[in-house]
Amino acid sequence: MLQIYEGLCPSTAFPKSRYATLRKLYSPHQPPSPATLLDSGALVLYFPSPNTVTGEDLLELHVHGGPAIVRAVLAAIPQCATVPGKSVAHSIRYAEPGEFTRRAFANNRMDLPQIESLGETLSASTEQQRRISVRGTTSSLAVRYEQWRMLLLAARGELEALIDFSEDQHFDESPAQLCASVAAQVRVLRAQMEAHVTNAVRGELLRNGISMALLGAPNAGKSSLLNRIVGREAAIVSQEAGTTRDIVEVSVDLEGWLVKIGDMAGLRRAGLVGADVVGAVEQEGIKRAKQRALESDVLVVVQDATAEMDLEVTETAKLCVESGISVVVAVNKIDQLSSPSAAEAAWREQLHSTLGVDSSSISFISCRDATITPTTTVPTTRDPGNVQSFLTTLTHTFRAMTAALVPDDSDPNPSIWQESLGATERQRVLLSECLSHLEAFLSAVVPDDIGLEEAADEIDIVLAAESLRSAAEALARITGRGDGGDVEEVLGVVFEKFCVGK
Amino acid sequence: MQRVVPQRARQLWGHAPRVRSIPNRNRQCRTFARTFASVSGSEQPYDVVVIGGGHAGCEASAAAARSGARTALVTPSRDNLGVCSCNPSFGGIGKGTMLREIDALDGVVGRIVDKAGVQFRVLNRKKGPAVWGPRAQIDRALYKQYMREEIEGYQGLSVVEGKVADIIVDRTAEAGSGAYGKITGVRLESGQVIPAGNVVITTGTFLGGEIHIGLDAYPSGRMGEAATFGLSKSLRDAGFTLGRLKTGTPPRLDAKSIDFKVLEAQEGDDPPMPFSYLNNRVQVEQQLLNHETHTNEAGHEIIRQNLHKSIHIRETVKGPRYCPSLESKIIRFTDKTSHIIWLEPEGFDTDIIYPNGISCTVPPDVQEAFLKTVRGLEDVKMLQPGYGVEYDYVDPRHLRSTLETKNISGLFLAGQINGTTGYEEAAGQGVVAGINAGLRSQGKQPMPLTRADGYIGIMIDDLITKGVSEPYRMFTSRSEYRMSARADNADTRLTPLGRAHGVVGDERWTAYSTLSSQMASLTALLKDKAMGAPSWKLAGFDVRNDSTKRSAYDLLRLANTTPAHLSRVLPDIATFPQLVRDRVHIEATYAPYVASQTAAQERWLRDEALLLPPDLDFQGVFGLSFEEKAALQLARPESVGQARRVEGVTPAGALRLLQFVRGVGKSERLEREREEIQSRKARYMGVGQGVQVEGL
Repeated sequence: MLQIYEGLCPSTAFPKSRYATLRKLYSPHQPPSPATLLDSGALVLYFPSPNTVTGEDLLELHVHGGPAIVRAVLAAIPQCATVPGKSVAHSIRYAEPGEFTRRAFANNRMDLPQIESLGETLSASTEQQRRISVRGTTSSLAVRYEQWRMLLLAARGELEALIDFSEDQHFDESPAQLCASVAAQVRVLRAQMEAHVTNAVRGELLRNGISMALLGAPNAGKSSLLNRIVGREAAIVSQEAGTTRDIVEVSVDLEGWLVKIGDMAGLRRAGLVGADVVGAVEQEGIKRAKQRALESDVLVVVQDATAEMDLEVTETAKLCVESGISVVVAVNKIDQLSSPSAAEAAWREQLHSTLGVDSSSISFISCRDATITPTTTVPTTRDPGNVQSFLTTLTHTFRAMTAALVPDDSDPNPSIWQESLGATERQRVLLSECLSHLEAFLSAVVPDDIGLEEAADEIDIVLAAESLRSAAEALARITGRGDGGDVEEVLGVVFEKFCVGK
Repeated sequence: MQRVVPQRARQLWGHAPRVRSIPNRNRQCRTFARTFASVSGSEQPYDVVVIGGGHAGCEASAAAARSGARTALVTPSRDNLGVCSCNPSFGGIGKGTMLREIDALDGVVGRIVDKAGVQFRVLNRKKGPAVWGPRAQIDRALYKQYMREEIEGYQGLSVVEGKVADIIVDRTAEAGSGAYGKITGVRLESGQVIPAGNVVITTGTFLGGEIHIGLDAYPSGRMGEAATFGLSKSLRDAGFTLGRLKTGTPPRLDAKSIDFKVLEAQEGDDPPMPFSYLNNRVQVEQQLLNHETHTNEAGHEIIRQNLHKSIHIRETVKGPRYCPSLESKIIRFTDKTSHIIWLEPEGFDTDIIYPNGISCTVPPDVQEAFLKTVRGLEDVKMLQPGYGVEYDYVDPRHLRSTLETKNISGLFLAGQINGTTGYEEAAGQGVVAGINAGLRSQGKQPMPLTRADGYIGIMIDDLITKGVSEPYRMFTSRSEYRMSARADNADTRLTPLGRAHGVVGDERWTAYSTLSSQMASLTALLKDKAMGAPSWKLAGFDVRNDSTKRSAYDLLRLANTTPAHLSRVLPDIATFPQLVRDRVHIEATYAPYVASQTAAQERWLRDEALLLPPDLDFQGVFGLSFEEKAALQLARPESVGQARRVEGVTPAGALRLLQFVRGVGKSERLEREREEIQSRKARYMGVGQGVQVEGL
């Protein structure tokens, strides 16, 4: 590094650390002269280790932006390696892809969760994705995991003391009391982790996009609605029922949320539509549509205001409601209603009773009005066909789905739960593993059928301690400090708290 | 000759990758070795010399002899063989499992304890067999007597009386794999030289030992013995880092002056469980009692007033946290108004009482004053004051997993000299060092123990990987294999391994083979009987009513279900001895956990098998941080697995080492880097190579 500086800025003082210094850059190994000048005014910054991005010494050159200048400086840097009259001392090379990050990791300047978030930040394409990933690049996630791990170690320490020392030492607390206090700590931890996992799932919705399915009877206007939302002819629309056979998938940025919309074949029950027989191809389309609906995060039921609700649609929507999918209803073709307000009230009533959908999740729209109005007549409203208000309903739903869950009202700093949205899938999977070990622990320590007092003899403390060991190990893997190494910490807890040994 | 390693056992315990050859001569090899060995060094009387006759030394010399090496144990006096310098007891939680492991390798300590025991107790009975801690108090005099008889009569082992002045090291260039040289023998204070290619040092706390009582300090080993200083210097010269540790022992009391009537008595187990797999019963079943009493505030105050009168209580030298002296208990746990004391008899025909829990170093008069505040000890007569010992230990990171030093080839260290505390820890290292010194002397494959093998393996791995900062003691929490490496099954884990290396004798092997085949038949019998829930319920067993078919073996996991209960459906069970039934019961209880730990072991052994070159220059491994390089250079791990456990090595660093070991086609990688750089250059420079921009 020093070599590069001396090569480019011959006979000038090395810049004061952390201060931007103005320097002329010259070609190395030649007496500085106007002919050898590379950049007449570059900012040079020196950051000494260890408080730098990589944890190593760092020299930054801020040069003028012309491609020729950049090219010239880049060409000059490797030459600094060779000292005239000497063989090559150091080779100066370009960093490998990701090398700065890797060095930062190797020097403990970044932890694994931070690196993961950095990756997310760089690939964020919508506003919500950016917000969530930027949160993760601070170290607070890793700090949280480490706090939890330390809590688990402390809890295990108490159990280990029971195993290794209780025979020849008298503890002030009885084994049952110790187990109860450890179980109480673990329960608090479990509640926090569960909220964290839920939030991580919500965060994944933000990062990977919300999957939305359009469900309805044939010709209810699903494809029309899709085209209104997307603003282009993504799906073929015709008067003929059953035009859409396979699923049409479109990704859109709806007010910052990445939404993947699936337009699907209309659902109808075979044999009920009179002479119109459901053919094999359509049947397959219907099957796929149902499946897609059940895999979605948000289901939009599109209902023709002038038609009865199809049984297939109702049943599929019910299934979705039961499996926890948010359901929004768009009642289409209100332009064809003779008395809209009465009909709307009737629909609200019916939808609430059949699907349990709140009226706030029901919109009455007209895809036709939304298309025709702007071109034919002077717009009477700002929202022709009510499509905008439908979109607002959708974004409300999205917001509710992706807001961070705050488990404890008394938490003085609820904003830290926002961070948990930034947890990646890998972290979530490991957290779930940790949670399953905590469950195993709790069922070992608090058997359901016996009271706490006589329980002490029945509790298998060894199994319980093993569960805590595995749980802590899962947490350790999140921050990349996996595979044991915690024995001394556990023993530390034991010896801090108990006076043990003879 | 049959192959001595049952395949199933090997898979379960994951030994397979490490055993490279199985000697086909086994016990006969001892006689062969004797003739062969004399070819290489005809004038050398011994293949292995063990310095020291404490717990590590006795075990090491017996193990070396068992392996077929002609072995000498050098001790200042035969009277010192098997001296228990601190507490009159063996075993305990974790420690007891180590004793069972030593016995499984045909070691001596378990058999001697069974003969000399005065009280036997299995600790943690209620907490399940995974953490059972067999413990025995012994008669000090009997133990010493039996151990001396054992060692003096041991086949292939000679006892040489003499004080070792120094080790002799050959420093010539071709001296072998040691960084400093190779061992060629030891020199006694008399000037006599005992040549040997393999030397095991087990000098305990004698290295630079210093005794502290009150404000007095004088150089010594155990009370009344001379300390070893020449050796300290030689080891320093050879590049070993020496550290300083301290420990202590309580005063000894006269039983006649203690009022036992006011104290609560503690009995041993009935019937007592023997330590050795070779014994069905212990020698003396009429056991002695312990008594329990407590310290109180009045006594604490006496100690507090006199803390300044002890030079031992200095924070510069680390003492154990788990076996704290009375002084440190009072200093650190100010809120505790009382600490427990166990009054343990030192033997059948003695009035000496060992008050466990109050090792202290204040002046003798203060000790006596303190003792008299304790209930039951109001008129106590103190026979010998408690004292502290400060001693040199060698940083165990200088050792390989065979306990051979990296600096001097052929030199092994075992016991307290490596920074451990406790008889069991010492004996456990002794058996490993002795076996490997013996095997090495005969040019045979080494027999290191891994973490998966048991507590001895855990201890050695901890020592050589992490070093010590306080005297190292075993706890069950140190083992990640607690469910599978238990006190009951040390033989299944280690006896076949020891037999394969020729260190398990015929008597034990026969006993083991009989037992393990009985266990196998009973297991098969239980596993073959599989029925649905209704059938089990009909037979009177409370199983969950589901469609799972359960075997009788599975049923043993139910609470309150023993093989005896199952003999209702399987009458043949009754034909198996109780011991076999108990063992299979424990195996069945832990079967699911053992299965998952075995999976973990296999994952772990993969890393363990990735050996690092012994002369690897960590400075030259690209991508390691400065701290990692320093830590690795110090610990010099033998495998990638061990490197991961070195303090300060990050997962990324371990990955770097992994890449290094696998080679990852080094040249290939360089080529890829070059291409990468070229293409990036081309991208930034716009034009191809060769365009030199000579200023603008």
